[in-house]
Amino acid sequence: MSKHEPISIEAIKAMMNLTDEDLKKPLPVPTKWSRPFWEAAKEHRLVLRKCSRCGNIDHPPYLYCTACQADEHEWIEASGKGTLFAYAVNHFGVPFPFWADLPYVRAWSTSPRGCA
Amino acid sequence: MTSGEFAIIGTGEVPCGNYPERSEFEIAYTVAREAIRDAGIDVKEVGAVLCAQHIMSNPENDYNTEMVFGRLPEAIGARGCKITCMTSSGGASSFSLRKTAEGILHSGETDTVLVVHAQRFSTFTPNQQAKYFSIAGSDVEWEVPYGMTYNALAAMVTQAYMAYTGTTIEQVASVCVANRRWAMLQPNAMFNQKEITVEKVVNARMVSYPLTTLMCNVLADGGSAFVMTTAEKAKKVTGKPVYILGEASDYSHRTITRAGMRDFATMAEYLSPIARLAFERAGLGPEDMDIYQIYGSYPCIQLIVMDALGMWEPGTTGALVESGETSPGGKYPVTTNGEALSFGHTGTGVGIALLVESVRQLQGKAGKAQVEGARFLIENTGGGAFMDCHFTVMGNEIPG
Ligand SMILES: [Zn+2]
Repeated sequence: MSKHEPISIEAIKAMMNLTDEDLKKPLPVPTKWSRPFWEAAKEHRLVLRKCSRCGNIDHPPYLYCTACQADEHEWIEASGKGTLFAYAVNHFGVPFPFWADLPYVRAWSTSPRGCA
Repeated sequence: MTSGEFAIIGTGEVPCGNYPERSEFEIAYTVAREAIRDAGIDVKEVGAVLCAQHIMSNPENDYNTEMVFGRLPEAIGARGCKITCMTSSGGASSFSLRKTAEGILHSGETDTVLVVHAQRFSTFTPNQQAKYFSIAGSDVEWEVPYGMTYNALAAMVTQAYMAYTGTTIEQVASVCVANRRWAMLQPNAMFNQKEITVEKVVNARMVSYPLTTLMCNVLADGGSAFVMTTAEKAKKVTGKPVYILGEASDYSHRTITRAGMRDFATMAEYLSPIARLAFERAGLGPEDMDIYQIYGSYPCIQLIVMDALGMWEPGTTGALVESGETSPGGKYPVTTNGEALSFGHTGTGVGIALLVESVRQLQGKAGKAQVEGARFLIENTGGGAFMDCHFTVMGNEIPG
């Protein structure tokens, strides 16, 4: 695909004068309202916030339902199935912590629940 | 807003590119003076000074803090200033600044507003720039941990658009070529020295398939300013007012999973009612436009916005650009300053630079890039991860 040689992580580290700290992968910092999502993710479950009043599913989740502003909600399990809509292959110009993973694919899928 | 209620009467701009010795303060003071001189007014007539937010802070002397705390009116001698503030909506800042200016003018507190943008990126290390810019627009909780980048988002939109419309990657690349041709006519453009070819664009280093380095924009130092006033005052102080004839806006989302458009392949369908409303409010149609100032940041987005104008059959704009008709000398001048891809990406200033170029064109001050006899144009801007879109129809006369 690319006629150019990839630049190794060692080379970019030297070239950009990077520390090990610069190469640490960013982790999500959960909010009060997204924590249940990440707790479930730890157990390899994909869950979505569903409003108990109007049935609206919010992803990402927020403090209250974005359709009716209600607090009451439940976490439902998603099938994890989706339809691939588009993808990109990152080859260059990514944050340095992801340099060692190049090339990698970022895909966009739509789920039957209507969330992308 | 009534059509033609407000006008822009003067602009200022500094060269865009790598200028590490030139601070944001120097840029701001320079473009402010130039815009006021260009407008033919006295600085003491300026009753409000609005600043665009700059991106990435220098903690020792933070530009944003200084501007928010009123540095600019004092430094440029705007002794009649009553109101100063900072307004930002990322890439859409040209629009939110102008809307703020319109509100202030409408309030009657003053009849003259100065809007200033300044940005310097080149003093930050490549690591700092990469850290900030590669993920700008991506959601830190839901996207960044997965290696998402802005380029990847644009790459996905490009793939979807090509699959949906049959547009080729060569046609996408031809947008970069057309932008470069315009930038070659712009003394302040970052890339105005060397022409590029479709072949060169397609064969450049792959960044995020199918986008190569030449399809992605480069951060640059730069800045610009404009003076806005009521139509009434504009007629008194200048023979060349540029009127705001019609505007329309929409906000879609923060997270791409929540986009108001059905999907990004059909983004033009989402955008076209906004463009239509702007034309309607101006009392003009797309065929009345002499120039189409399209802000896309990425080549494919320029095509999508062109598709939305109601001027060309959606999906055929790639072929149109490829034919050379949107390049200098073509039938449909598009994006006459070369935009983010060739003029340079100055953070919140890309749209402001395009607005300033729009004013220059309608004032007959665009130099080598001048479109002869330009009377009306449409301009657009948007920010975030395609979070919003704003269309504006402008003209150097108020139609019938
Ligand atoms: Zn609800």
